[in-house]
Amino acid sequence: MTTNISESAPFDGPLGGLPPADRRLLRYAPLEVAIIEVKFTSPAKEIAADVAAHIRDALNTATEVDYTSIQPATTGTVQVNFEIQGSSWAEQNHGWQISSSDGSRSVTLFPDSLIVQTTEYSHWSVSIRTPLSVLLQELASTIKPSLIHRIGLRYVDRFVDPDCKTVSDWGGKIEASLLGPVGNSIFGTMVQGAQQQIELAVDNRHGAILRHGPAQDASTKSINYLLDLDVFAHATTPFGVDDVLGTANNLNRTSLSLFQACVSSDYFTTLQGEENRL
Amino acid sequence: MTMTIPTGSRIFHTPPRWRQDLVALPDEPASGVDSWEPTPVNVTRTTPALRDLFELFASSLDPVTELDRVRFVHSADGDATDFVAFSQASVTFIQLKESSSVVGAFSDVIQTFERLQVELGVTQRDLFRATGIKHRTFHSWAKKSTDSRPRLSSVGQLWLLADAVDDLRESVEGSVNKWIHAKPDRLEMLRAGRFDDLVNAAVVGSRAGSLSAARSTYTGLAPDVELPVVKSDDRPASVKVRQSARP
Repeated sequence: MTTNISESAPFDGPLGGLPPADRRLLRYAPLEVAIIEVKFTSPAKEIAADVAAHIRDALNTATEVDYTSIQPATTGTVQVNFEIQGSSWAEQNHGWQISSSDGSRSVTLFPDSLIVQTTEYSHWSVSIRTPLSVLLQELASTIKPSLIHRIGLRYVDRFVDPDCKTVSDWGGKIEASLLGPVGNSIFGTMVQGAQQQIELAVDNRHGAILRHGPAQDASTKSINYLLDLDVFAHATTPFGVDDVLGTANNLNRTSLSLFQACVSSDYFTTLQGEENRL
Repeated sequence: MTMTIPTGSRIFHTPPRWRQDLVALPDEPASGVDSWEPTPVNVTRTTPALRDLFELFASSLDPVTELDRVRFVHSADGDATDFVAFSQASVTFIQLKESSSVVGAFSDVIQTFERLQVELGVTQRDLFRATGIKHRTFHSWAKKSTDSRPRLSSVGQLWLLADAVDDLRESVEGSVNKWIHAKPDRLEMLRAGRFDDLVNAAVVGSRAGSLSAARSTYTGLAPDVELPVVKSDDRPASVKVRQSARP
């Protein structure tokens, strides 16, 4: 996960009383993909092609990223039913997916949601906040959302260390409370894999889902460690561009605080690129 | 060039009888932690190693069971989807399967034509007239090899029209579609291929309207939805841990 200098906001810190995080950039950031999703209510039944094209142009200007592709997309729900060997479809929504030329950045738009995803994350303000701001302003002037139902910010980190040949090698790097069974004095060294999901109630309006665990990496013949952190606001609020951006800011700070709580202080220093290495 | 990415496999299993009673899905998700939906990820845009990890965790923590509802996202021309499981099973990811067709110069031209048709809200025939593209030529493009390019003469004024539409977007209030159809002479200019005149008309029109007073629009709340009042609480964060269920 990378960090950046704080931006002005009424409240610019982690939620739920979590400790403020060190915001210096990580030289060896393990972040692989970052996503933000905003779900809302709007009177629009669809997003017109010219609106999508206009949004694409606005993104190109604001982000200096070359978004070249606009592809129709559909979202909906399907119920899986093995007995009838089929499925029933419901609630199909039509929208667009706008992608950069190299596919590393994409924006998916529906009349009731937007998703920004990037695998080239550098800074919060550049990689997520700026495109999000463009999208919110464009949607505010075209389809006019009225309510926000959910804002979710997800950072997926994959720690790669060729020196970690066994799960227990991540001891001293990943926080001991997460490693759990690896620390067992009887069978800890026998642990080959584990997948855990932790659900946090940050406060009444915000939650977090943390998935983590070790996994074999065949290419390096070592053990990687996944830290998948999803922080979200789930209370319904009126739509406002600044309010959404402010909430997204708070989610970013909260994610950062939780991330730092998941790694040891020594390893965090290592990720920052300091001289002290384990 | 687009690639077909195979969808991730899933573990489907028959739930125990007691759970079958529970998965008669309500129309709305239950409240509380069980209704939390993770933020979706398009895994086709991630590295293979990360996709493998997503798959590993999904198979352990998000098995799709019968009668589960899943949310999907797919491209309009795609023929496969992958799922974001809903409610009862935790949300996993969105996967967009890329079209298996190779994108070449002909499909660029066709896509541009179709995009302009949609944006301008006109018929194919109108656009053939406007650009000078022959009807038969256009329909033959779909069968062309992706290694070749259309002859410049056969594309007519398509790219000039695309540039003109870009200019119109910057000059008109609202959608280009509505502006074109607001006056019959604008549609005639378009059909006649007089794109410069069309853009000039838009520019002159935008200057005349630039001194109008600002408007405010009340957005307010949806009439049928009450805003919930959530009282703040200073409780410390609480933690719920879920382990994967091993068979």
